[in-house]
Order: sequence, then structure tokens, then C-alpha cells
Amino acid sequence: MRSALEWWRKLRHLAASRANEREMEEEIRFHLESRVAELEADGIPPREAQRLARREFGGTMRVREEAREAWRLGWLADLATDLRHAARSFAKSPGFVTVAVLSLALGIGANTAIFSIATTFLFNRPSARDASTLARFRVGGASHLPVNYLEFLRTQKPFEDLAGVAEERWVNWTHGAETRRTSAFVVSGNFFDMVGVPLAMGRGLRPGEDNTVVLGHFFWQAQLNGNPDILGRSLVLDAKPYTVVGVLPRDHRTVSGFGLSPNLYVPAERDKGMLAVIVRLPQGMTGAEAMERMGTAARELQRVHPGDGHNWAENLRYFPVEGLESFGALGPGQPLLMFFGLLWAVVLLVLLIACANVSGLLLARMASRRQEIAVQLSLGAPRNRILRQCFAESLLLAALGTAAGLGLNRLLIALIARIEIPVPLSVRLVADVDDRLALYACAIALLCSVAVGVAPALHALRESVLSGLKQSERTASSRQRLRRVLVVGQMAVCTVLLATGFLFLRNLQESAAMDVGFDTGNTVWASVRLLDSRYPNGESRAAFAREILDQMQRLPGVESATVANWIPLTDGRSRRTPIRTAFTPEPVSPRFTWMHVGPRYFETLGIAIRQGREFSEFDREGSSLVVILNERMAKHLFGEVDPIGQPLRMRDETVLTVVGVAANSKYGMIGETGEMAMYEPWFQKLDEGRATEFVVRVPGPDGSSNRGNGTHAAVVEGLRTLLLRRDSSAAVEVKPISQALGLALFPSRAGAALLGGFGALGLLLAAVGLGGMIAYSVQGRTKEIGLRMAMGASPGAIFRLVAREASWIAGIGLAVGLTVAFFAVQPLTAFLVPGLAPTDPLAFGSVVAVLVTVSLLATFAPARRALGVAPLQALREE
Amino acid sequence: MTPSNPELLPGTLYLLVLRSLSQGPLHGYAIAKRIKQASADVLQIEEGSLYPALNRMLVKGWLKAEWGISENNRRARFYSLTADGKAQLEQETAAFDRMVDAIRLVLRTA
Repeated sequence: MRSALEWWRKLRHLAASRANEREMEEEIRFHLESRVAELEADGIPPREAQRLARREFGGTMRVREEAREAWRLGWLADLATDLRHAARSFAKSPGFVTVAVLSLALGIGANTAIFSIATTFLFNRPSARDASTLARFRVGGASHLPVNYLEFLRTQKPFEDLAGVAEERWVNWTHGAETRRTSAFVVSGNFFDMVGVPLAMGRGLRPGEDNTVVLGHFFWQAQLNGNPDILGRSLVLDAKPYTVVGVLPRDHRTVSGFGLSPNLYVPAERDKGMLAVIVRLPQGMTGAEAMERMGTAARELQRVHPGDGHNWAENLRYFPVEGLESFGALGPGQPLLMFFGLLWAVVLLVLLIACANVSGLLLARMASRRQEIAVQLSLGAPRNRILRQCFAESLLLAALGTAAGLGLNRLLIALIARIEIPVPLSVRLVADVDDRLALYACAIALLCSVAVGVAPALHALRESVLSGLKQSERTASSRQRLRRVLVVGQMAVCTVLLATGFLFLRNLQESAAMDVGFDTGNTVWASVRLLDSRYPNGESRAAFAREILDQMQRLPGVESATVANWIPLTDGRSRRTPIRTAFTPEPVSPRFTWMHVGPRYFETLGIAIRQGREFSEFDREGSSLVVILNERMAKHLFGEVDPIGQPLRMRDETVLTVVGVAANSKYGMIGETGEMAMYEPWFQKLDEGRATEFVVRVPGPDGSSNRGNGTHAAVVEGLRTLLLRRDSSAAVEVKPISQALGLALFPSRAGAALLGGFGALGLLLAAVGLGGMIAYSVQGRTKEIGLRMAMGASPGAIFRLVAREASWIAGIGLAVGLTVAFFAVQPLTAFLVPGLAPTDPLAFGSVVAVLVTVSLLATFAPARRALGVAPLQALREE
Repeated sequence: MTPSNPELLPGTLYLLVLRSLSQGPLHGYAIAKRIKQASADVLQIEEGSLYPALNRMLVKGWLKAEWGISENNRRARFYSLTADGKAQLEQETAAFDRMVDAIRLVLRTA
């Protein structure tokens, strides 16, 4: 702090340096004249007085120099001089600067882009007033509580205020003749006030309102053309009019993080639905104190509402909404964190290759400046002065590279933000330049300048006065050796990058080709979101489904139709519950996928029934309760015993009879293995909000897959018309199942695109490095090549001469890289589909093939130059 | 016989300047005179070396300087203590006293 203030005073002094000099002069003159006057008053003659005064004072020049010394800025001034020097010398070689800055920009652009994405998704900074005092709670182990329980907790007043929010909600938006499903955050009335959400226009939702809505920026822009007069207009949501009271700013970030970006904020209905608890803590309250207060309220909730199977007093958890600790709040963080860790490691390697390129270029440049350096040394410039110049150059390059890299970052982010992420949530990448990115970029720039400057600095230290002046070959070879080491390193790192990239490409290939266990080629999915207000109970939904199924089956081109509460690989629902069978006196509690499916589900999706039967129209409310298991679950519960007709006793004492065993298939994820599944009839044990997802089977002319031959399009249209005619308030979405599998393939696609892209980028940079080094080497050997040609060496021999060096370097790099990659890819198993080994021979084979080809190509241009050497001219050159 | 010219102890010049300014603002020449008088001409310093010291003290933030009018009606640069300077004076005085006491003790017991 103290020294910072001193710097500040020195800088201010510097700003007025002329005036300071004048003042100093005047001050000294005043001193001398005062002394002279005093001496004269004592009766000393004027000349003698002046001589005496001067002697007492000492040398005025020295005094002024020493006074100036007090204000000197030290190394900062030196740095400025060095940077100016570096800039002047760069201006003379624009080609070098372009290649170096481009290399760094690519590395830094990729690096900061990953950083931007990671901070947006993982380290959320919610748009809120004083987010540091906002926190979320998990009460009784549940992320969300019924609205009336939330209200109860609020009346307990554990904190200043307590609000509720539900993230993964949808509403039906009717716009003109069309009704679409759109994402919404459902919040309690006090949410906007308590959180202090900033708005671009209008106001937030207020307590007591039940028909107002706040729009997200992107929804307002894309769906309502950014209409500036939107406030006060109404939207038809779930068949009711809602008045628009506010619009959120573009950079709105929710309190839930993970890049969630709802289209709308709507008020929670009274006594309906579940909300997550978010609270405003008093300033300075610790997590432990907050836990204690909330614990008291939760125990009170348990005392008043004991009888619903939940123990609200237990499993209380606390998460701040901001910073690292907020990470645990939503759950799915672990694999995401691992994936970003992997990406970060990969982009750091890309940057390393880029730095090695620039380092190599700087080394080559030093060759031409060898004499200049030697002259400086011989004139007595200290060695650290030469080093300082080296680092000034690399610092300047790193700064330019970072600036260009940040430009590239903006470009990449804009591109990536356009990609629609096929998750069943509304997610958007809004990654602006913020202080975190700026800080990270500065750190990267410093890191780069050190990484880039080390090799040239090492070399400069070895340079001696004599060898430099004599143009000895010794330092030339030391320089070339350093450069070779750099290129071998680049090749090795590039091999590791390529291995990762190819592995993820193979992974995509394998996932896309993987048998998911049901027919994705001949099936069309019609998702219908019914309104609770029109279909308040299971019976009304069942009537709707029965009628629709009947009509669907009569559509031309449709072979069979069925209904389910969700479609595999577009979502995922599993549960763990105790089950007793005749063979297990103690209940077992397996985790299994749980679905409700209608009659002909297995026929429609092409899933084989191994034993027993599938569900029929007679498995409905009132008939005996039945269940179908997949093979794994049947085996798990009954072993070798025939499961058909066996009872399953559930926790609520209902008994389900096993009537069929279905073939295993994929449910939640393509990569899953050994997932157990239980199917119950859609028309049995109807709950009030049972989802209506229809699937129809559309066989091709020969019963085979007929993707894209037009029949699907007709059926899709037919289904849409049918559903729209039936209920215009329902949100309808119809598409072939193959298209709907985007979610399942998304991780593989994203992994392949990102890691394949970074592998290619690394390869490009490494090829530039190798090519540049060989070109330089050829240039240094012009005399030798000329001599050999004059002696009658064939073009083939010359080419081999050049290619030999390249092959050695690429070969060593490849060998080192493959060894490292072999171990480095082992932890990637977690991201790969089962059956694909991290050391997949096809992936590694491709790496070798690509690297060898690219090395040859990179050698080709310099080799041609070598062949073009005119012997006489080459010999005359020196 | 010239009076013996004891070397200034390190930092003593700062202390002397701070002490001279403790009564109020002075210009450079007055500070030099004050130091000479205070030390009864025993401490002979080259008057010029006062100015680099003043500048170093400005950098440290112990002093501030303002142009004003001297007693003989000339423009002169007046130095005064800042809050930091006053704190420094107290600290250095205490440290100096301790050191002098220690030296006396050594001389007496030796």
C-alpha cells in the first residue's frame, strides 16, 4: 500500500517533470542568495560571500542529480524503453510479427473462449442486488417444496425474507393460431423484490399478482420482434391472458446458474406446484448460523405437517447462489466439471504449441541479430540488459497476441451462442467480457511471454562476444538444437491432442451407430402438453389419449400408435424404491428406469417381448395391476425363476403382477450399461398430471427404415393437424424420433466437435512450427546443398537430405507423444461409450497417419526451395 | 583546530528535518540554518545534500511542499509535515532516544 502511494506520487511528479526542474533551480538560487545576503550583512565583501556560500552548499549539479534520483521510477522506466525498442525492431519485420501474433491469437482465443464458457455455466454471477447474501436451501433433502410449505416456512421468519423459484417449467403460449411450449421460471410474488432483479424495461412481478409476466430479452427480441410498446400488452399463456409488466436485460443471469435462460417469469399459482427455497441472509451471517435458523423453521414444518412421508427436519443443506460453493446446488455438476477440466487442459496444450512456434521464430530472428547483440555485449552492456530486451520482445508479442486472441474470443463466443443446445431446458450462452476474463487474459499473456521468452533468453545467455562477432557455427548449431527440441515438443503435444480428438470422433461414430434397442428409423414422436385447467385429472387425460390414439391409428401410413409419459433418450426418469417378491422376505431397493406406457408400446417402438405379453386396452383403471420388466430387472429380481405371474409388493403395499419381460434397451443415455427398467400401464394408477407423449410407427414400403423418403413428412403433418384440431390450447410438437435424439447424442457431438477442433488447431500450429524450422534449416544449408548439386547429387538425394531431418524430428515427437498419450487418455474412459477403449487402435492409427502426412506436407515447401537452389549462386553467396 | 566532524548516523538527517519542521512550515534555507543552530555547529553537513533528502521525504509522503513568500519578500518553497511525517517523527525520536541510551549505557559500563 505504502509503496503504491509512492509510485503514485512519482508518476504525478513525472507528469510535471519540466516544472520540477525549474522549481529545483529556483529553490537552489533562493538558498544561495539568502546565504549571500546574510554573509554580506555580517560585513563580508560580496565576492567573498558568494564564494563562501557556494562552498558551503556543495556542487549544485550533483545536488540536482541526486534530487532527481529520488523521483526515478526504476524498472518501469527501463521497461518502457525496452518496449519502445522492441516495437521499433518489430516494425521492421511485419511478416514475423504477423505469424507470431496469429499463432498466439489462435491459442489464446481458444483458451479464453473455453474460460468464458466455463465461467458462464459453472461460476454463475446472478443478476441480483448483493448476490453474496442470497442463498438456497435444500429442505428435507428435497430441492423443491410444495408452495404452501414454502409459505409456512416464510411465516416462520427465519430470515429477512424467503422466496421460491422453479426452474424447469413450461407453459403453453398461444400466438395467433399456434400454441407452443415455452420455458418459464415460476416464482413466488416476492421473488423480484427480494432478489432485486434488474430490469431493462417496466417492473418485476409483485406479491399477490397471478396474471402478470416478465419477458426474457431473447424471447422479446425473437418472438415479439423487440416491440418497444410491449408493456401492458397481454400474452395468452396456458389459455389465460397475462399482462406484460417488464422485460429483462440482455445479460440477465438467473439465480440458478448453468446458463439457464428462461423465456418468461410467471407468478406461482397459489397452493399448486413445487418451488425451490431462496433466502436473503442478513449482512455478514455465516452459513452455519443460517443453517441453524433454517433448521428451526424446518423442524417446525415437520411438527405441523408430519404425515407425508418426508422428514422435513432432516437433510437440510445450504448453498450460496454465488461462487464455488453454489456448485452443489443443482446436482449435475460433476461430469460437466470434469469435461471443462479436460477442455481446459486441451486448450492449454494448444497454447503451448503456439508459444513454441513463437519461441522458434524468435530464435531464428536472433540469428540475424547475432552481431548486433555481440556488439552490445562488447560495448559493455550487462547481460541482464540483453535478457531484459528478450523479455520485452516476448511481452510485447504476448500482449499483441492476447489482444487479437480476445477479438477471436468474441467471434467464437458469438458463433457458439448461436448453437441450440438440445437439452430439455432453455439454456443460453451469454458470455460478456468481464473482470474475470480480463484477469485471466492478463495471466495468460504473462504466462505466454515467459513461455515464449525462455528459449531465446537461454540462448542469449550462451552467446559470447567473440563467437557472435566471428559468426561461428557453434552458436548457430546451439540455436538450431534448441529449435529442434521445441519442434519435437510441439509434435509430441500435438500427438496427444490428436489422440484425444480422434478418440472423441471415434466416440461420436460409435454412439451414432450404437443400437439403442428400439426403432428410431420408423417412428414419429408427437409431444402434447395439455393444460391442467382443461384436463384436471387422470380420467380426463385418459379419455383424451384414448380418442387421439384411435384417430392416429386410422391415419394413412400409420401402422400402430401408442402413448407414454416420456420417450427414451429424450429425457430420463429413474427411481429407487423397496420391492418385495415371493423370494425376498427383505425388500430389495434397486435403482431402475420407470415409465408408464400404453398398449402396443413395444410393438410400436420395435422392442421385443421375450416372455409373456405386452400391455393391451384391458390394462386400465379398475383391472388388476400389472407390470412389465426389462430382462435385466427380471433377472435381478427373480434370477432363473420364470417371472411371469410373480407378484411385486411395492412400498405402498400395492401388488403388481409381472405379465411380460421386454428386451433391454437404452433409456436415459446412449453410454449407459446395465440399466434396469420397469414399465407400468399408462392407463393404470392415473395421476393428475400424466404426460401425453404419443409415438406412431410408420413402416417403409418394404418394412425397412425409410428415413427421408417423404412418408414421414406426410405423417408428421397429419398428426399435427389432428392434434391441433382436437385442442388448440395444447402445445404440440411432432418430429421423427431420430431427430429427437439430439439430446442423447449431444455429449458425443459436442465432445467430437470441440476436441476434434482443438486437435486440428494444434496440428495446424505444429505444422507451421515444423515447416518453419525446416525452411530455416534449408536456408542455413544453402551452401552445402549447392555444393552437393554441383557435385552431381540427384534431386531425389537432395529431397531425402531435407526430409531426413524432418522425419527424425517428427518421428521422435510422435514416439514421445504416443507414449504420453497412451497414459494421458486413460481417464477419458468416463466420457466414452462402452466398448470403446481409450487406447482405441483405430484412433491411434489415425493419429500416426495424419501426423506423418502433415509432416511430409510441411517439409514439402522448404524441400522444393532446396531443389531450386542454383549451385553457382549458392556457392557465391558468402 | 577545526571542530571534529562526526559522520551523520544513518537516517539522522531525516530526523533533523522532521524535528525542525515540527514547529511549522519552513523553506529549505531556513531548515538548513535551523539544523546548524540546533546542533551548535557541531554537525557539519553540506547544505546542498539537504535537498535530495527533502525530495526523498516528499516521495515517502512525510512532507508536503508549497510555494509561498519568504520573510524577505521572495518566492520560496515551504515544507511542512504531513500526518505520516508527524508519526514518523515520533517513531524516530523514540528509536533515537533508545539508541542513545544504549550507547551511554555501553560507555558507562565499559
